[in-house]
Amino acid sequence: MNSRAQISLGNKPLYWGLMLIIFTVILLVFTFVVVHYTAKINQVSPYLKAHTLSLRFTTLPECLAAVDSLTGAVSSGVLDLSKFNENHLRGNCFPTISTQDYNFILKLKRKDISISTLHYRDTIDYTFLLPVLVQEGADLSADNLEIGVQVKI
Amino acid sequence: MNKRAQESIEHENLPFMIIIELIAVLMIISIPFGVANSYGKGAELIKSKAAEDISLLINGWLSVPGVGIIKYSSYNLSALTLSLDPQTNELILSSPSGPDQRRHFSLPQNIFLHLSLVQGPQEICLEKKVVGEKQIILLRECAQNEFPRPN
Repeated sequence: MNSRAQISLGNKPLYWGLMLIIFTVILLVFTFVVVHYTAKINQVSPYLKAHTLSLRFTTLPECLAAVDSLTGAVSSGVLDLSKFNENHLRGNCFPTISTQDYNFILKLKRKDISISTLHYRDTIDYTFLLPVLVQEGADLSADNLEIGVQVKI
Repeated sequence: MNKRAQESIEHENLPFMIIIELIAVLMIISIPFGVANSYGKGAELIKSKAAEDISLLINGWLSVPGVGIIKYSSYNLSALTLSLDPQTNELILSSPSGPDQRRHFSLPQNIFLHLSLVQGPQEICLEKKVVGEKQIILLRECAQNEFPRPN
Protein backbone atom coordinates (compact mmCIF):
# COMPACT_ATOMS: atom_id res chain seq x y z
CA MET A 1 0.00 0.00 0.00
CA ASN A 2 1.44 3.36 -0.92
CA SER A 3 1.30 6.48 1.22
CA ARG A 4 -1.77 8.05 -0.53
CA ALA A 5 -3.87 4.93 -0.07
CA GLN A 6 -2.92 4.78 3.60
CA ILE A 7 -3.96 8.39 4.12
CA SER A 8 -7.24 7.78 2.28
CA LEU A 9 -8.17 4.71 4.33
CA GLY A 10 -6.99 6.35 7.53
CA ASN A 11 -9.31 9.35 7.03
CA LYS A 12 -12.55 7.34 6.56
CA PRO A 13 -13.31 6.58 10.25
CA LEU A 14 -12.50 10.17 11.13
CA TYR A 15 -14.91 11.40 8.43
CA TRP A 16 -17.78 9.17 9.62
CA GLY A 17 -17.06 10.04 13.23
CA LEU A 18 -17.31 13.74 12.45
CA MET A 19 -20.50 13.18 10.43
CA LEU A 20 -22.01 11.23 13.33
CA ILE A 21 -21.27 14.04 15.77
CA ILE A 22 -22.61 16.71 13.40
CA PHE A 23 -25.85 14.81 12.71
CA THR A 24 -26.34 14.09 16.40
CA VAL A 25 -25.98 17.78 17.21
CA ILE A 26 -28.39 18.70 14.37
CA LEU A 27 -30.95 16.18 15.66
CA LEU A 28 -30.68 17.43 19.24
CA VAL A 29 -31.05 21.05 18.15
CA PHE A 30 -34.03 20.15 15.96
CA THR A 31 -35.75 18.24 18.76
CA PHE A 32 -35.23 21.18 21.10
CA VAL A 33 -36.60 23.60 18.50
CA VAL A 34 -39.68 21.43 17.86
CA VAL A 35 -40.45 21.06 21.57
CA HIS A 36 -39.99 24.79 22.12
CA TYR A 37 -42.10 25.60 19.07
CA THR A 38 -45.00 23.34 20.07
CA ALA A 39 -45.00 24.88 23.55
CA LYS A 40 -45.05 28.32 21.93
CA ILE A 41 -47.88 27.67 19.48
CA ASN A 42 -49.97 25.99 22.19
CA GLN A 43 -49.70 28.88 24.54
CA VAL A 44 -52.61 31.29 24.66
CA SER A 45 -51.37 34.85 24.25
CA PRO A 46 -50.56 36.30 27.70
CA TYR A 47 -52.22 39.53 26.60
CA LEU A 48 -55.52 37.74 25.90
CA LYS A 49 -55.25 35.85 29.16
CA ALA A 50 -54.59 39.05 31.08
CA HIS A 51 -57.53 40.75 29.40
CA THR A 52 -59.85 37.84 30.22
CA LEU A 53 -58.71 37.77 33.84
CA SER A 54 -59.08 41.51 34.29
CA LEU A 55 -62.69 41.50 33.07
CA ARG A 56 -63.86 40.42 36.49
CA PHE A 57 -62.75 43.63 38.21
CA THR A 58 -65.54 45.65 36.65
CA THR A 59 -68.17 42.95 36.16
CA LEU A 60 -68.33 40.85 39.32
CA PRO A 61 -69.95 41.94 42.58
CA GLU A 62 -67.28 39.87 44.39
CA CYS A 63 -64.76 42.29 42.87
CA LEU A 64 -65.47 45.98 42.42
CA ALA A 65 -68.81 46.09 40.58
CA ALA A 66 -71.55 47.96 42.38
CA VAL A 67 -74.76 46.17 43.37
CA ASP A 68 -78.11 47.95 43.45
CA SER A 69 -79.23 47.80 47.06
CA LEU A 70 -82.92 47.66 46.11
CA THR A 71 -82.96 45.21 43.22
CA GLY A 72 -79.70 43.34 43.79
CA ALA A 73 -78.78 43.92 40.15
CA VAL A 74 -75.07 44.04 39.35
CA SER A 75 -73.96 47.16 37.50
CA SER A 76 -71.03 46.18 35.30
CA GLY A 77 -68.70 49.09 34.73
CA VAL A 78 -69.83 50.88 37.89
CA LEU A 79 -67.29 50.52 40.69
CA ASP A 80 -68.26 50.62 44.34
CA LEU A 81 -65.60 52.76 46.01
CA SER A 82 -66.13 51.04 49.35
CA LYS A 83 -64.80 47.84 47.72
CA PHE A 84 -61.75 49.58 46.32
CA ASN A 85 -59.28 48.39 48.95
CA GLU A 86 -56.56 45.77 49.06
CA ASN A 87 -58.22 43.54 51.64
CA HIS A 88 -61.26 43.14 49.42
CA LEU A 89 -59.19 42.67 46.25
CA ARG A 90 -56.84 40.11 47.77
CA GLY A 91 -59.40 38.23 49.84
CA ASN A 92 -62.61 38.29 47.83
CA CYS A 93 -61.77 39.09 44.25
CA PHE A 94 -58.38 37.84 43.12
CA PRO A 95 -56.46 35.72 45.63
CA THR A 96 -52.99 34.84 44.34
CA ILE A 97 -50.57 32.15 45.51
CA SER A 98 -47.27 33.40 44.13
CA THR A 99 -45.62 35.57 41.52
CA GLN A 100 -46.24 32.68 39.13
CA ASP A 101 -49.87 33.83 39.00
CA TYR A 102 -50.97 36.86 37.04
CA ASN A 103 -50.96 39.84 39.39
CA PHE A 104 -52.62 43.21 38.95
CA ILE A 105 -52.42 46.80 40.08
CA LEU A 106 -55.60 48.85 39.74
CA LYS A 107 -55.52 52.61 39.71
CA LEU A 108 -58.36 55.10 39.61
CA LYS A 109 -56.76 57.90 37.64
CA ARG A 110 -58.81 60.89 38.79
CA LYS A 111 -59.04 59.86 42.41
CA ASP A 112 -55.37 58.83 42.28
CA ILE A 113 -55.74 55.75 44.43
CA SER A 114 -54.34 52.34 43.63
CA ILE A 115 -54.56 48.82 44.98
CA SER A 116 -52.72 45.66 44.00
CA THR A 117 -52.96 41.90 44.37
CA LEU A 118 -50.81 40.18 46.98
CA HIS A 119 -47.85 39.15 44.82
CA TYR A 120 -47.59 42.21 42.67
CA ARG A 121 -43.89 43.22 42.46
CA ASP A 122 -43.98 46.46 40.50
CA THR A 123 -43.39 44.82 37.12
CA ILE A 124 -45.98 45.86 34.56
CA ASP A 125 -46.17 43.88 31.32
CA TYR A 126 -49.47 45.22 29.99
CA THR A 127 -51.71 48.15 30.81
CA PHE A 128 -55.41 48.46 30.07
CA LEU A 129 -57.43 51.62 30.49
CA LEU A 130 -61.17 51.31 31.07
CA PRO A 131 -63.67 54.16 31.44
CA VAL A 132 -65.78 53.49 34.52
CA LEU A 133 -68.28 55.14 36.82
CA VAL A 134 -67.40 55.32 40.49
CA GLN A 135 -70.14 55.07 43.08
CA GLU A 136 -69.34 56.80 46.33
CA GLY A 137 -72.38 56.63 48.56
CA ALA A 138 -75.16 58.13 46.46
CA ASP A 139 -72.77 59.99 44.17
CA LEU A 140 -71.61 58.80 40.78
CA SER A 141 -68.55 60.18 39.03
CA ALA A 142 -66.73 59.29 35.82
CA ASP A 143 -63.19 58.01 36.07
CA ASN A 144 -60.66 55.83 34.27
CA LEU A 145 -59.51 52.54 35.71
CA GLU A 146 -55.92 51.71 34.77
CA ILE A 147 -55.16 48.03 35.10
CA GLY A 148 -51.49 47.08 35.18
CA VAL A 149 -50.77 43.40 34.60
CA GLN A 150 -47.77 41.54 35.89
CA VAL A 151 -47.40 38.29 34.00
CA LYS A 152 -45.55 35.44 35.73
CA ILE A 153 -42.13 36.43 37.02
CA MET B 1 -0.72 -3.62 -3.16
CA ASN B 2 0.43 -1.19 -5.85
CA LYS B 3 -1.14 2.13 -6.71
CA ARG B 4 -3.17 0.91 -9.71
CA ALA B 5 -4.66 -1.99 -7.77
CA GLN B 6 -5.69 0.34 -4.95
CA GLU B 7 -7.38 2.79 -7.33
CA SER B 8 -9.19 -0.08 -9.03
CA ILE B 9 -10.66 -1.27 -5.70
CA GLU B 10 -11.74 2.28 -4.81
CA HIS B 11 -13.43 2.74 -8.20
CA GLU B 12 -15.31 -0.56 -7.89
CA ASN B 13 -16.63 0.42 -4.44
CA LEU B 14 -17.56 3.97 -5.39
CA PRO B 15 -21.20 3.44 -6.61
CA PHE B 16 -21.90 1.17 -3.64
CA MET B 17 -20.57 3.77 -1.21
CA ILE B 18 -22.58 6.55 -2.85
CA ILE B 19 -25.80 4.50 -2.54
CA ILE B 20 -25.06 3.70 1.12
CA GLU B 21 -24.34 7.35 1.87
CA LEU B 22 -27.50 8.50 0.09
CA ILE B 23 -29.61 6.02 2.05
CA ALA B 24 -27.98 7.15 5.28
CA VAL B 25 -28.58 10.81 4.48
CA LEU B 26 -32.22 10.16 3.50
CA MET B 27 -32.81 8.23 6.72
CA ILE B 28 -31.29 10.99 8.80
CA ILE B 29 -33.33 13.64 7.00
CA SER B 30 -36.54 11.64 7.54
CA ILE B 31 -36.02 11.47 11.33
CA PRO B 32 -36.77 15.17 12.02
CA PHE B 33 -39.85 15.02 9.79
CA GLY B 34 -41.08 11.99 11.70
CA VAL B 35 -40.50 13.76 15.01
CA ALA B 36 -42.28 16.91 13.79
CA ASN B 37 -45.20 14.85 12.48
CA SER B 38 -45.64 12.98 15.76
CA TYR B 39 -45.60 16.26 17.68
CA GLY B 40 -48.22 17.70 15.34
CA LYS B 41 -50.66 14.82 15.77
CA GLY B 42 -49.84 13.56 19.22
CA ALA B 43 -52.14 13.32 22.22
CA GLU B 44 -49.69 15.45 24.16
CA LEU B 45 -50.30 18.37 21.85
CA ILE B 46 -54.09 18.00 22.09
CA LYS B 47 -53.83 17.73 25.87
CA SER B 48 -51.83 20.93 26.07
CA LYS B 49 -54.09 22.82 23.65
CA ALA B 50 -57.28 21.67 25.35
CA ALA B 51 -55.90 22.65 28.77
CA GLU B 52 -55.16 26.16 27.53
CA ASP B 53 -58.58 26.46 25.87
CA ILE B 54 -60.62 25.20 28.81
CA SER B 55 -58.59 27.30 31.22
CA LEU B 56 -59.35 30.40 29.18
CA LEU B 57 -63.03 29.41 29.00
CA ILE B 58 -63.27 29.08 32.76
CA ASN B 59 -61.40 32.33 33.39
CA GLY B 60 -63.64 34.14 30.94
CA TRP B 61 -66.73 32.65 32.41
CA LEU B 62 -65.73 33.57 35.93
CA SER B 63 -65.93 37.17 34.83
CA VAL B 64 -69.51 36.92 33.66
CA PRO B 65 -72.28 37.16 36.25
CA GLY B 66 -75.05 34.59 35.93
CA VAL B 67 -75.36 30.90 35.13
CA GLY B 68 -75.23 28.77 32.00
CA ILE B 69 -73.59 25.92 30.10
CA ILE B 70 -70.75 26.02 27.60
CA LYS B 71 -69.97 23.12 25.28
CA TYR B 72 -66.36 22.51 24.30
CA SER B 73 -65.74 20.26 21.34
CA SER B 74 -62.70 21.66 19.56
CA TYR B 75 -60.60 18.53 19.91
CA ASN B 76 -61.19 14.82 20.28
CA LEU B 77 -60.70 14.32 24.01
CA SER B 78 -61.55 10.61 24.04
CA ALA B 79 -58.00 9.66 25.08
CA LEU B 80 -57.97 12.07 28.02
CA THR B 81 -59.26 12.25 31.56
CA LEU B 82 -60.37 15.70 32.68
CA SER B 83 -60.98 16.75 36.24
CA LEU B 84 -61.61 19.79 38.39
CA ASP B 85 -60.00 19.77 41.82
CA PRO B 86 -61.66 22.15 44.31
CA GLN B 87 -58.88 21.59 46.87
CA THR B 88 -56.18 23.09 44.69
CA ASN B 89 -58.48 25.03 42.33
CA GLU B 90 -56.96 23.26 39.37
CA LEU B 91 -58.05 21.84 36.06
CA ILE B 92 -56.16 18.60 35.38
CA LEU B 93 -55.90 16.88 32.03
CA SER B 94 -54.24 13.49 32.10
CA SER B 95 -53.59 10.64 29.70
CA PRO B 96 -52.05 7.17 30.09
CA SER B 97 -48.72 8.53 28.86
CA GLY B 98 -47.03 11.85 29.44
CA PRO B 99 -47.23 14.35 32.28
CA ASP B 100 -50.52 15.87 33.46
CA GLN B 101 -51.46 19.33 32.28
CA ARG B 102 -52.52 21.46 35.23
CA ARG B 103 -54.00 24.95 35.21
CA HIS B 104 -54.62 26.91 38.38
CA PHE B 105 -57.47 29.39 38.88
CA SER B 106 -57.68 32.38 41.18
CA LEU B 107 -61.34 32.20 42.13
CA PRO B 108 -63.38 35.06 43.53
CA GLN B 109 -65.12 34.56 46.82
CA ASN B 110 -68.40 32.65 46.49
CA ILE B 111 -67.43 30.90 43.24
CA PHE B 112 -66.09 27.35 43.59
CA LEU B 113 -64.94 24.53 41.39
CA HIS B 114 -67.03 21.41 41.86
CA LEU B 115 -65.17 18.10 42.11
CA SER B 116 -65.62 16.62 38.64
CA LEU B 117 -64.08 13.75 36.71
CA VAL B 118 -64.77 12.96 33.07
CA GLN B 119 -63.05 10.09 31.29
CA GLY B 120 -62.72 9.93 27.53
CA PRO B 121 -65.54 12.34 26.70
CA GLN B 122 -66.74 13.03 23.17
CA GLU B 123 -67.70 16.57 24.13
CA ILE B 124 -67.51 18.29 27.48
CA CYS B 125 -69.87 20.76 29.05
CA LEU B 126 -68.82 23.38 31.57
CA GLU B 127 -71.77 24.29 33.73
CA LYS B 128 -72.02 27.25 36.05
CA LYS B 129 -74.91 27.11 38.46
CA VAL B 130 -76.11 28.38 41.78
CA VAL B 131 -76.22 25.93 44.69
CA GLY B 132 -77.54 27.47 47.90
CA GLU B 133 -75.79 30.80 48.21
CA LYS B 134 -72.72 29.92 46.22
CA GLN B 135 -71.94 29.48 42.55
CA ILE B 136 -70.18 26.36 41.32
CA ILE B 137 -68.46 25.46 38.09
CA LEU B 138 -68.57 21.80 37.15
CA LEU B 139 -67.31 19.73 34.28
CA ARG B 140 -69.34 16.91 32.77
CA GLU B 141 -69.87 15.04 29.54
CA CYS B 142 -72.58 16.66 27.45
CA ALA B 143 -75.85 14.77 27.22
CA GLN B 144 -77.03 13.66 23.79
CA ASN B 145 -78.76 16.48 21.92
CA GLU B 146 -78.04 18.89 24.74
CA PHE B 147 -76.98 21.34 22.08
CA PRO B 148 -79.03 20.37 19.02
CA ARG B 149 -77.77 21.72 15.73
CA PRO B 150 -80.04 24.38 14.28
CA ASN B 151 -81.90 23.32 11.12
